[in-house]
Amino acid sequence: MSLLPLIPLFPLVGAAACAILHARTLAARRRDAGAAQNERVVGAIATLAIVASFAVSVAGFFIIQHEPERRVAWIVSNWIPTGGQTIDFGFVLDPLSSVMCLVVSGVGALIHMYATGYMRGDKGYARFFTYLNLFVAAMLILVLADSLPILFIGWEGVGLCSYLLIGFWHENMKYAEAGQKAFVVNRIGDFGFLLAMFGAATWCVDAAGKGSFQFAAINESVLAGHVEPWQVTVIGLLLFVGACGKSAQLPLYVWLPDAMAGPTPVSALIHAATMVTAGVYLVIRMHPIFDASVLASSVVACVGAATALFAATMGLVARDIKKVLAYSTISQLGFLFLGAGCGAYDASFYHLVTHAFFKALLFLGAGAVILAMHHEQDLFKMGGLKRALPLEYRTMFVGAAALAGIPLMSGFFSKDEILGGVLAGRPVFGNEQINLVLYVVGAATALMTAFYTFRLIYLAFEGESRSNEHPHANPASMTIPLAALALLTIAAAALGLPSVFGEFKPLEHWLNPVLELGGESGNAAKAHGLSHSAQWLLLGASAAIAMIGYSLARATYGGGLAKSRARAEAMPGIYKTLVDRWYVDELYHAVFTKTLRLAGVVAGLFDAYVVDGAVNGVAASAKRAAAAARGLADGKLQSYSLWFGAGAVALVAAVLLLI
Amino acid sequence: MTFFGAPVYFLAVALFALGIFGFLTRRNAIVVLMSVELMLNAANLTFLAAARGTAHVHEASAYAIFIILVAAAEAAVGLALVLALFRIKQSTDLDVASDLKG
Amino acid sequence: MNDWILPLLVGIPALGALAVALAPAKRDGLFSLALLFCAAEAALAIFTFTKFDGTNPNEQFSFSRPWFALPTGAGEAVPVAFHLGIDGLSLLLVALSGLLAPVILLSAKGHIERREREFLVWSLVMIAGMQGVFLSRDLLLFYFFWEISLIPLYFIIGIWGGPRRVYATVKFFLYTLAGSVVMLIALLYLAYNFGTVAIQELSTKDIPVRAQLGCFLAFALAFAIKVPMVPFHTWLPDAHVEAPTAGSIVLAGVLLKMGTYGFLRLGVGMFPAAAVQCGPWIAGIGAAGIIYGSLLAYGQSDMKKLIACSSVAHMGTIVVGMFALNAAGLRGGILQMINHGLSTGLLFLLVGVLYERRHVREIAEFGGLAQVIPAFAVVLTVATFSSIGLPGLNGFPGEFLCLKGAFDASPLLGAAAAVGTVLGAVYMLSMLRRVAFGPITRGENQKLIDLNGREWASAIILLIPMVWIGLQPSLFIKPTEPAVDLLISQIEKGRRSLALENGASLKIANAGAAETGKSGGRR
Repeated sequence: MSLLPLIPLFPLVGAAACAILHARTLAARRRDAGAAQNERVVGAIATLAIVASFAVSVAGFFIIQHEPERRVAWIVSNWIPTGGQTIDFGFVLDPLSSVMCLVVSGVGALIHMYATGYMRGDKGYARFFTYLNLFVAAMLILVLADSLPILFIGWEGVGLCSYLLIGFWHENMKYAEAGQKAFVVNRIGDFGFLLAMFGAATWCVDAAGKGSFQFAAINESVLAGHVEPWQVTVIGLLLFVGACGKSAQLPLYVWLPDAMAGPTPVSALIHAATMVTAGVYLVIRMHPIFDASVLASSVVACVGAATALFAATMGLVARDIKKVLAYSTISQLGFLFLGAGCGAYDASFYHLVTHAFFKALLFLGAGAVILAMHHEQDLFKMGGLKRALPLEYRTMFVGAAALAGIPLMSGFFSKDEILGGVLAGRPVFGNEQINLVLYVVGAATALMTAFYTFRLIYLAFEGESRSNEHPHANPASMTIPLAALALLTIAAAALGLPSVFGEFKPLEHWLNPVLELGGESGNAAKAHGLSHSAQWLLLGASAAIAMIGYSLARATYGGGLAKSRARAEAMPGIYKTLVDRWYVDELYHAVFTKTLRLAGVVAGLFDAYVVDGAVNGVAASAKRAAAAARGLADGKLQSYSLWFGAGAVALVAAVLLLI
Repeated sequence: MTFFGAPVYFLAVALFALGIFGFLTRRNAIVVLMSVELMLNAANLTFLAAARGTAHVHEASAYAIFIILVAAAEAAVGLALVLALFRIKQSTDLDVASDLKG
Repeated sequence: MNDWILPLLVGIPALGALAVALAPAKRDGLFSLALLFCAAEAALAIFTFTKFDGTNPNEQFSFSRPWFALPTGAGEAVPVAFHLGIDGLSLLLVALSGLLAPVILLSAKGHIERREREFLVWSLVMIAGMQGVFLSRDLLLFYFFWEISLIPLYFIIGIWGGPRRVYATVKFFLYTLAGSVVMLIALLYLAYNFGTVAIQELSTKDIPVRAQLGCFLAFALAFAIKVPMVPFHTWLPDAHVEAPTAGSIVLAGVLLKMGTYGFLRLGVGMFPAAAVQCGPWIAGIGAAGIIYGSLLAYGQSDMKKLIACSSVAHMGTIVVGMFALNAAGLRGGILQMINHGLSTGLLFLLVGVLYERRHVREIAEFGGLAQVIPAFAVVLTVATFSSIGLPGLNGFPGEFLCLKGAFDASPLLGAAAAVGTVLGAVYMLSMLRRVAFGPITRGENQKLIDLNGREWASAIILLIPMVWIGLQPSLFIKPTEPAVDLLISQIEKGRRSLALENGASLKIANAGAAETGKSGGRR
């Protein structure tokens, strides 16, 4: 279908248009310092580009329903002829990529609209929308890709845009450093991704012994068992290394908190709703590999659980409103991997979608608060905003309720599905006891999540104001997306209600063609396996956990900061460790950055003194030999003659003796 | 008659050896030139002595005269060089003329 | 008509050099004259690219005339021909050299303040020499051009270079000359033992494995120095740092590729058994070079030196790809030669832009340039990301293929080479950040002027193919395919003769023969 390339093409064209407008603004500014840029045109072009691609995505969504296999493909063959497995430039729209497209372009369009208000007056307005449109284009290429290398294009493309947008205000060296950190850490993940890609193409062969880069072929090959088990495991683990980088999992999560340096719409779009979920998307897309390898999937589950818990602890004490949300994002991504690792792909994807809505909502709300507070991000300096920003308060409350898992919100159901999937899912490392441990870890994380989410709400909106700033109202371009996302957050609950409410599971049914590749092998792990009474028990437990978290937050922060200060002073060691983020950044800095810098210096010295020293040594020894020979040329005619005569005699003698 | 049969050859060898010795050891440029003359004349003497009583006597004489000519030319050029050297260095000492020293 | 294309490719710059040397014009006139010849050269190179038959594995547009004969003590004299030809291995390099010709001149316009005439003459001679290297189909002619291309750079660095130019230029000259002398000995050995110096003919001869090994190593030394491979790389940073911008562009852009091209054409092409035998070692050294060069680059504070060290790493990637000795790696190596020429050429061009304005190259002297000269910063960002292999730009397909080839040869080799993608991001982005981002720390930088028309022109000449290769790599890979396949059959031949030599059972050799027979039939 020729409609497919249009999906990423619209934002791409939008990016080009914005870039041209930016260049013109720059030229105008050089001529005349006062020239203003036409923000309205730029914002309209950028937003409409995303809306157009959303429209095409919707059309695609309906078109594939009439396709026999619910998929359409578009291919330009032989994009890179490798001499072995060719790389075709191909897109495929199937249930999975279709939903991703809708989420990316839909949430993307709302965030673009929001950003037209948020970025008002910034001197890089057009540049911002160039990057943002480019990001959406890359993200859409990522989700539409039908093969690993094409996905990699989008994968690196979103990385580039993330880099550019984190460092958007590049005058600030800290921000530029944060962008670089994000790109480099992602590159470490890409290292694994690249090798996984090569391994998959080489090892995952069909019956005729031919390999391919295409997802469909790789998955088929794994399902048919044409691949050695250790090779599947290696591919799975390497893919997960890539996913860890992009989706900010242990130990590669360190870039995401710093990535909050970017403008808030960027944090919402890239570092919460879309880009960071790419790792989970990759795992779900290639789930037969993880189904086939117990080791790989168990590592996914355990790393996910560990990340969820670890990030949540740091969220408990963060003061920067965006950092709280950043840690919660890492934590929720950990949840997604936990679910995917246990084989609950549908639950994981369900949570991915709901998380995209409510996390985007929370970030946009946070952005509105920050803007209203004149760029104040410290929660301890806010408070009492409920009155000044009623709409922001209500929408953020919805988002917080969803994140915390307050019953009947979308986040409640999706998180519960994951926890159910963990309990009933495939045994981690072949041991069901470990599933139980992971469930407990997940539940503990959920408790902390509820706590820090409402801590955020209480600190920002309730109580008395702790700031001298007078918050100002936000424009409609910012509040409309908030309201829309709040509605989506509530409505998303309907996508995947637990089976105790009947078999109404549109998302799961929709995804079945993709997720049930190879039968029920992995998917048997779904909450199906749980009896209704067990499900009710779980739902009840989840609800109780969320409510406990809420009450704790209310008890601690309901009356201002005094009580929390007292608590912090009661356990200074733990509090300090958490505030300092477990010293992981310091550790990485000491171990990796410093080592690398040292290695650079050592290599430089080695090069100068040993390698080049040897070269110069050869030259010097030639020089020394010459200096020694120089004594022969003393400038005296008579000694020259002597040597000349001696030479002639020697030559004659040699000739006479030899012949 | 063998080569070393005639005493005149001893004279020629002695002259040549004196010439080489003088050429290599004396420091005065004029003496060095004179040593060269000695060597050339040793060659002349050998030519003539060897040709005596053979059919080649005329050729040998021609060579000898030729060598005397060359020696004269060489002396002229050589003395001119010594003069030039003296102008530059105020000396005819060859040790002073070592500008080619490496 | 077509058989005059190649002599013209060499001849236009050579004639240009002559014209510039004799023309009565003054500064600007001379420059325009030289630029005219370079533009003609670029146009002809692009014409060659479009005319080239991408399905033909053999040389095209051949031009061959007897030149002279090497007398031998006994037997017949060895004929030497002035034989030019182009095939898939050299096509892209010829196009690149042609394309870079105007860039070299444009970049020099602002830097060369004295003895312009000589500079233009040497530049043109160099272009002629480089084209000659890539087009020669006769070993002695190859050697002739190989040496010819050395001389102009000697003068360009030696006359118009920086403060340590004499040290750098002598080092560069002697180092590369030492390599070529060894190559000359091997060349003469071949000529006297096999009675020919035609590359094609030598490739079809059954040279005993022992002789192959000796000759291969002799050639490899010359090429390894030129590439340069660790540990023969130390002349490169010195030469780059001292060279004027034009010298750096041509050095990184084309001159280094003479080494990798030589490896392909002569090393693998004529001595396949030796190449198979030494391949893993050379690839291993290449992989070590990637990591070592990256670490070196990370430790540098001088922009030019940093890019020079990154060249060592990138050339390592090319070597790894080529000596994976499979289709993906060879194609990747060929494409990556072009990519490195484009991206590194552009980086040196940009450093030259800064140097022209500030007369410093220390990274610490800059900072926050994106605020003052945004267009410069944009181009620098593009060049940086091209250099670290971002998909959509040229670096990606080349690096991807090289790494894939390496992985297919040995997963461990692929993994080692892929470390370069991480380290590359580290040092390139650090440089970009410290130069372009952050606050403006020096007052002098406040008044910098953005790219002017001349600089834009040369940047765009490089940017267009960068983006084009990134978006449509197959257009540039396809024409090289048949030649690479031919090279692979040559490698197969080498494998077989090596198996025979090693006294392996006849069965293996037969199986190998049957296999190539099959694949030959398919082709």
